[in-house]
Amino acid sequence: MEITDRKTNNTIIVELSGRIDAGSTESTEKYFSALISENDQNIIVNCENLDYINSSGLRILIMSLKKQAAKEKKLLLCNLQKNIKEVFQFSGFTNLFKIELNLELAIKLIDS
Amino acid sequence: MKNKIINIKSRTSGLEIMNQQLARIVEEWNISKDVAFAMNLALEEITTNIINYGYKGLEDYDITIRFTLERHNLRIQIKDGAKEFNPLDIEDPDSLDKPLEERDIGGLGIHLVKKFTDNFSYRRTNNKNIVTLTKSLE
Repeated sequence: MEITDRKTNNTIIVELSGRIDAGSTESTEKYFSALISENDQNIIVNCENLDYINSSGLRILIMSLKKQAAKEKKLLLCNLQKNIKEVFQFSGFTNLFKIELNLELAIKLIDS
Repeated sequence: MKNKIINIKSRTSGLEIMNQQLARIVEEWNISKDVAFAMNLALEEITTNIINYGYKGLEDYDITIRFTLERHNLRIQIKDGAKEFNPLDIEDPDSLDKPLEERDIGGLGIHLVKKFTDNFSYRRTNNKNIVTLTKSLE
């Protein structure tokens, strides 16, 4: 699992690459926890190269969304792979996360 | 028919070994990306439950996993020696349609196992819990 991020004027774009599985849950959780506590910006998570996620990974994203919502900031996901979209659909999380966004649409949504 | 059996310990490093072994099997047995994804997810959810609830987070217990490639299915059997625990008794999360602030974020794993497998069964034999997961190769 590799995580990188870059800041634009009002948004942090996070790129996830690899797998959120048993071996990377803890480091991923720490990363998002620190990112949100140290910043006060909208976040877009680009999942183009995210190949796998388990229910612990989902929990991390939901916790992050809750923390962002408490600060009246957005957290959007974009470029989800087919299998990962299914995880969100089967979990019923499509009312929390839009799963059909690409990066351009996500940026538009942040700016709107 | 092909078989492979691995033993892991009830801790995170055990799960990492399990995931590596599964990745190797997927390659050797030429399993599709979709089946590999579904079975990896189901396997992680079941073994994580065994470690957290069956073995209560204690790290030195054994879990035996048998992978079987049948003509039309990939089957995975997971065996542990913890107290009797049927994951199918865990109720589906009831909060799937509720707004964010009312949602319980636990209890999702078993729900996902049901959704991602074609068959999910449990039995108790010789003081062991045995979960069997099956997924069609097509």
